[in-house]
Amino acid sequence: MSVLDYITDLGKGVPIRRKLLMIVLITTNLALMLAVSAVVFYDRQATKRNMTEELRVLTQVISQRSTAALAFDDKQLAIENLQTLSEKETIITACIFNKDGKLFGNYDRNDSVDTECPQTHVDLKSGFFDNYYNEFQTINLDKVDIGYIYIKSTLDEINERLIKYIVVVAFIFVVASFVAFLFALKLQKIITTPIHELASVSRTIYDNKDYSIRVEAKTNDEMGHLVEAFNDMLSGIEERDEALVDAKNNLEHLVKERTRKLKEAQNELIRNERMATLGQLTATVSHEIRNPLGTIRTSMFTLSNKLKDKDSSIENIIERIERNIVRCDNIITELLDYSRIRALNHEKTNLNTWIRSVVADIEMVNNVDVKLDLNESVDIEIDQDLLHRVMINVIENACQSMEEAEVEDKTLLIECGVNNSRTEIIITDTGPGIPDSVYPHIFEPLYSTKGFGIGLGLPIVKQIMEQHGGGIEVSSEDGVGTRVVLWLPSVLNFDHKKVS
Amino acid sequence: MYKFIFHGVKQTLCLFNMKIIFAFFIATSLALNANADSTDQDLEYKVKAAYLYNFTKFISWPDKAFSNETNQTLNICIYGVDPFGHAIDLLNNKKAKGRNVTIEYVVDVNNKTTDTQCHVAFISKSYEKELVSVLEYLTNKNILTVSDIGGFAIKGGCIGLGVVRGKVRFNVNLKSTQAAELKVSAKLLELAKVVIE
Repeated sequence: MSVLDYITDLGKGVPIRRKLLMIVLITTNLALMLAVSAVVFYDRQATKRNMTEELRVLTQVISQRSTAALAFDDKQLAIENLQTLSEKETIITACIFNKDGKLFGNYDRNDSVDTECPQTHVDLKSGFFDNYYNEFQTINLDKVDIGYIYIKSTLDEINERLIKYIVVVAFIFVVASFVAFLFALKLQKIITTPIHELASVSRTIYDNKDYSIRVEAKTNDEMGHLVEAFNDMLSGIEERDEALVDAKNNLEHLVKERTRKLKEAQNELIRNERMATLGQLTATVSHEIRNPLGTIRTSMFTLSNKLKDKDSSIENIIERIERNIVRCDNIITELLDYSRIRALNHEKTNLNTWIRSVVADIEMVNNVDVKLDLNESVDIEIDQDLLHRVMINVIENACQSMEEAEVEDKTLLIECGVNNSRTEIIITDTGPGIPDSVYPHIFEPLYSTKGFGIGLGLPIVKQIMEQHGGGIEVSSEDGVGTRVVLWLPSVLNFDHKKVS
Repeated sequence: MYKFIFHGVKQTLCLFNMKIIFAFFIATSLALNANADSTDQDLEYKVKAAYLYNFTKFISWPDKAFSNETNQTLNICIYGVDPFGHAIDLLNNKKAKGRNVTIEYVVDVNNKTTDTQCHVAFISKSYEKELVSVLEYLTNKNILTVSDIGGFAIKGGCIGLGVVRGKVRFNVNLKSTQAAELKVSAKLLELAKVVIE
């Protein structure tokens, strides 16, 4: 693991603010350290160079000044010359050798150690040795070597300078680090503030589950882009939430719808099954009954012709028998009609005119007051025969109920009009209404409350209306009357599926 | 060195002893001269010969001193009886001021055989009596006059050699050198025992 990895690993649990500070400080300090080291190193080199140069020149001066002393063998003068070096504190030893390499004159600083002059000039050379700098030069006079000079200097001066430099540099380092720290402390907010804002908003959003909150993007940098992306994400979540709620509602609705359709289909199936059974039964029974019924009728006709003149009292009985034969025949017809549906034979009809003729055809019984309220003249395509039966069925039902209940005001109101996209024929009576216990069963085949009939009236009505693409709606109020709405779509769309 | 010893003596000895020491000093210095045997003499003149050569390095001659000769040599002339012997031969063919050093001998000033331009003139003790006339002859000729005749510098010579405590030392007469249009290096003056201005 490298050092960088190690630092990265260390910083994992540290807040971004501290991380930024750390980064800035580490970088600054590293850069400072490098710069400072470079400066110190350069200064050290320069100082060394200066020192060697200074000593070289100094030695040269002494060397030049000592040529006469060497030439005329004056050691005293040589020593005096060397003693001028006492001004330079770092020089602890200075030696002059004559041309034979023998010590000619020397100087040493008393307060120092290691000040012995070497026995001979051989092996001497310029350069740094241990903790000293040695300068060695040949003294020449008129291009002839006449002696040698050797000077030994401590490095105290440049070492002291180095220490001073390091102290100053350390001070600068500390101050610069501190200033960098202060600046970084202030400036890190540029980066951390938006992050904190984003984080706190995220937290608020999570806590409140409120995805309508948005963060304001204050900058146009990566942070700004992040905030934008964050906002976009919130919008996305919001949209998806809405879609989910919608989907949920839709699903509920769909389930309800499907359940309803399923129920309908089930009901249809049951009805169809019943119808099929009924159809077969009816076909057989009616065939088997109609023939003997025809025979009975013919026989009755013959019988009545023969007996009519002999006994007039028998006429009533015969009439009653004939009436019941007709009733039986009607029931059979009804049954056959219900179980054997035929295709619509529709023709364009003016509804108002047609209703008037239908009402006129019906033989109203017992003072029923028929009122017509035909507001609009509507041309519509219908199967006149089938709808005629519907009208008769409904009107007869109304009249019968009013008659049975023996209400005083027997009024039958027939309205016709267009309501929205429906063409409606509304038939209202003033009868007793439909009891609550009966109401749910009114469209069930073979359900009848009457003493006569087999309970196929309303089922047939419903069937015919549905065949026309319309329907029947029955509403009733106890003691006030019953209202039947027969409606047809304004544009007829015949349901051919039901045609079998 | 001398000062140091003198100082030390003054510190340690009393005054009457000083007189004895002084007398002893004079006695030894006289004895040095009187009792100098032949080996010492040889050594002394060997040193003096070297000094003659070394002087040339600290003296600047005017350009005209070298103008009348195509072969530019630096000539050291020995006036009178040669006291150096072989010691002086060592100087032959040495270089001084970028020129070859040659030795000329002038036995009789009045009957000078050559008209060679001398740059250094060593006047031997054999000319001690006729010193005034010799010096008179040599002045204004850009010649550095050197001699070990006692009081030579005081008497008008340029450099006077002497022996002090076994060491050859010299005095310089700046008047004479200036008259000869010679420039003396300060380093040489620093070494001189006495400088006459």
